[in-house]
Amino acid sequence: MAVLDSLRLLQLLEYLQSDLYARGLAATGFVPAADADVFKTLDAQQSAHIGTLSTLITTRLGVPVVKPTFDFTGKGAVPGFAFAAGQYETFRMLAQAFEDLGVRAYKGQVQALQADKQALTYVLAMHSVEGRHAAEVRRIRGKKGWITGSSADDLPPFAQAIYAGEEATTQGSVNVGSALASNGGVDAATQAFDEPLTTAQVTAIITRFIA
Amino acid sequence: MTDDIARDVPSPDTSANRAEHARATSRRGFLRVVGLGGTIALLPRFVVACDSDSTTEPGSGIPGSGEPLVIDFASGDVAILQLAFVIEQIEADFYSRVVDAFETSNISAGEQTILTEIRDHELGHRAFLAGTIGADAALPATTTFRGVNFSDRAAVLAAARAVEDLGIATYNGAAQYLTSPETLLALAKIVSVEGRHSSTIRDLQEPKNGAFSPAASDDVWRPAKSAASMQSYLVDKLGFANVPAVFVQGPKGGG
Repeated sequence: MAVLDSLRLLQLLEYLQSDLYARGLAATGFVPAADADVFKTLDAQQSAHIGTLSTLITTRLGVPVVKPTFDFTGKGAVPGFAFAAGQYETFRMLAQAFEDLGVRAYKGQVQALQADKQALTYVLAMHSVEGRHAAEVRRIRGKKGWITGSSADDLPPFAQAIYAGEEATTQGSVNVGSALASNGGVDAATQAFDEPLTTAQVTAIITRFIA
Repeated sequence: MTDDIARDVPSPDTSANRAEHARATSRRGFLRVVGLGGTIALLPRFVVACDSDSTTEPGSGIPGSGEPLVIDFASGDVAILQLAFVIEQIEADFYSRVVDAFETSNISAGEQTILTEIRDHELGHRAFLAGTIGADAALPATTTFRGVNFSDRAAVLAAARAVEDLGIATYNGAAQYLTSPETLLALAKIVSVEGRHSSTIRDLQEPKNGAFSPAASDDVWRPAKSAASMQSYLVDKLGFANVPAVFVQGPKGGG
């Protein structure tokens, strides 16, 4: 059933995010005090999303995802990453990658949920929160809260797949880049609209981090 | 921003107070009608025809004192796009006024860059919706930000936060009424960026303390609930017709 497939994909994504934060917070002295509230908030809210998705899945007679074991080295994508001293910036990079992925993964499922208005509405309420999360992680890294073009910034090469297609400047029949010619132009047009990722794209990115 | 809508306190019977009472009463009447999902949400024009502040204070007119701006939900997806277009006009006008006031404001250069980019995004959203709806169905709004001191950083950020969160709750609540998958996706593309905006504004107010995301799920408001807040930014008299009777609540309820 398409609805259950969508909900289960999003739950897998939430486990990826949640496990990153839980392990980062569990590693003594790894997350600096100044950033602790940010990651505690992210950890708590991703855990809440997992619970919300479980309820949506079980009330539709589906089986929630069993949390996999994650390997945050990404099978060589993030060599040697182990939540160790000196690797905090790598942790924040993964957080940015997974939150921007979250925005696009949720967005990619909304059409499949359109006929199930409760699932749609719950997912949308979490989707905009993914946008909040992504902006905050980007900002504490000194980046803009929004995605410009298809730029993966300074993230490792695996992350380029997370930004593919973000460079769109035409929405429907409207060339937003032209409309903003004297107000931010193409860059602003790409920032103003987050693009979806397909199930296949999201699955490929997540699978890389499953042990 | 809804204080003046909810307020109903006795006051001395002066001419000015009678006028204010008439406005407050008319706003309550408006809310009752949209709350019932009725077929008409307009009030007699003469109730507001004597208000003149909107012509003497450009951009700071009295909410609800102007021409009717009616969204008829019987028109289907177009109505949701019209609703979104009103939201984006509010946001675009708000940030345009913020940017226009930079010369006299105490907003830092770095924050000016952020607010200018947000303005550009809102202009992009507005242009997309205007182009998608088409000239015949797009409803131009006259906005008002009465009481906002655009020279004051704290006031600007507080108002920006309210406007962004209103947009998010409105989009999240209206999406369930869409029939076109393409329109659903288009509005989803916008609302996550509004989430990025709200998070950014909140982080400027309260850096790194969790305020960027106040709950695991954002608000999901039925159109009639959004209307009260939207009206506070509109000189036009906002009206909804044929509001769907059924509304599916979000995780937090209360929408």
